[in-house]
Amino acid sequence: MTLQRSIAFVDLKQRTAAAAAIAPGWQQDFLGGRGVAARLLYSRVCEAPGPALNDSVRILSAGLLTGAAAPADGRARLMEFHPGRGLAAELTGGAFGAEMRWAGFDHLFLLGQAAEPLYIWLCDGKIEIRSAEALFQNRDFDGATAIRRQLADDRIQSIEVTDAAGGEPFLAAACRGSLGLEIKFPRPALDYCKTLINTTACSVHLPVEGPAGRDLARVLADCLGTAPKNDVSSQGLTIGADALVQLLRLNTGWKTAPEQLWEAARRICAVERLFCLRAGIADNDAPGVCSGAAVPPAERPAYYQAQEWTDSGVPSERLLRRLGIDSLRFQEV
Amino acid sequence: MNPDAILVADPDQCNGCRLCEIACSIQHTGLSRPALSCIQVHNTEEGFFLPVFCQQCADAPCAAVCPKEAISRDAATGAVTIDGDRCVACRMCVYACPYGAMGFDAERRRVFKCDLCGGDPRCVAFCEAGALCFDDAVEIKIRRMNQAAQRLMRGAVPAA
Repeated sequence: MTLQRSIAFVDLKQRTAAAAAIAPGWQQDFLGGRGVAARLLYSRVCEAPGPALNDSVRILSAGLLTGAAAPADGRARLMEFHPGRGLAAELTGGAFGAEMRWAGFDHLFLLGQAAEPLYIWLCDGKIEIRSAEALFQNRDFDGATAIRRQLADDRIQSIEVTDAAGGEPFLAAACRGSLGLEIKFPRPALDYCKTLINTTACSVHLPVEGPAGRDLARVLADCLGTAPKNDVSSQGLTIGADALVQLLRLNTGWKTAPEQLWEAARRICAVERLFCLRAGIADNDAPGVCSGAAVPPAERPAYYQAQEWTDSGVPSERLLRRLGIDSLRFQEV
Repeated sequence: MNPDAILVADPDQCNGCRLCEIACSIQHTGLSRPALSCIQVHNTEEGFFLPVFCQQCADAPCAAVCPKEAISRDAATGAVTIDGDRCVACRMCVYACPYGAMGFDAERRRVFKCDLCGGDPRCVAFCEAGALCFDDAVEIKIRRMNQAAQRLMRGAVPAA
């Protein structure tokens, strides 16, 4: 699995689709999954020419180790931004993330809203915008079943992403892939993965204590696709950063270090925070999506300090310089 | 190595995670590529997962139909294996297999099937749900018999 992966861009208003490579260096800086999605959101909304904050954006992302020789499940993370309604995110069930990678894409970026029932079809490097009208001639089925029946393939993975609150008719993403993910060191990667699966107890050392440490761990898990399936309130990582480094080296050939991974997590938290500040999203409108949004007000000063943000919750210029993202800074007024 | 060992799946335990497909394809091709995995998890609309793989049939239809006698049994592992040098990729074996367990790699123009990883199937090692088992046929029979007895004792099986 090399780090040269692709994003499928779909403009639902214009009904256009295109594939593009993930920007060079993004995967080292933002890993995958949630991290690249956050950078993508910032890039396409905040850095786009003109008033881009008027469009809704949905991003389906697979983790950097999704579908690889790693204790990662096949889920995808759906991040949604709707103007005036804030940010939301969820891990979706099934194996959509893994199938999307086998179909040739790590992310699906959806801009705007569909005006008629549609589904996006991703298959072996191809992106198609298809009418979903025919799917509902027989209303006995849910969207996923209808797509599988229409295409006569039980292995299709699909997710409905309809923005019902925004009045969107029906929108789903469906994928099926037969492409391969290159594994840099196949047999050692399998052996190491097996060792981790057999390890029942694993101590995870966090770089900072408290909610900030838990947020950083959660970000890493969301970026790599290793979030525990039944995790609701724990610290988010069941695999230590040392083991993640080893998994990344064996699967992708990328030699990194635990400190670099934690710095990447800080970078992602900072970008998410900057996006919310730029888009005017209050903490309450992005719980669990923007780092720190779910922290109770009384604990925020300590959280901001642990994240190296200012007293008002803005990532400091010094931090942004250290993380190499000082071009994204937010000017406090 | 036990030539009498068999690979079996318990669909009730399978959760459809497909780690077996990932492990198998990496083991045999170096890629995570379930399309070329010798084990495939078939799932139905009802949410039923069935791992499908070669049953290493005693009177294997794939071997019987092969015009080049490229398919034979490995005496050491008990697996029905393909001799790549003899195979002409006519795909008669793909058609003949009653389980749909033979695969065809269109890029490399070759058929493929489960070879039990030389006697230590990788898919079993990665099945966290415990749906796959590779053991002596007699041992498996005894285990299944015990499971059936326990179900009867719990009253889970209605009396005939």
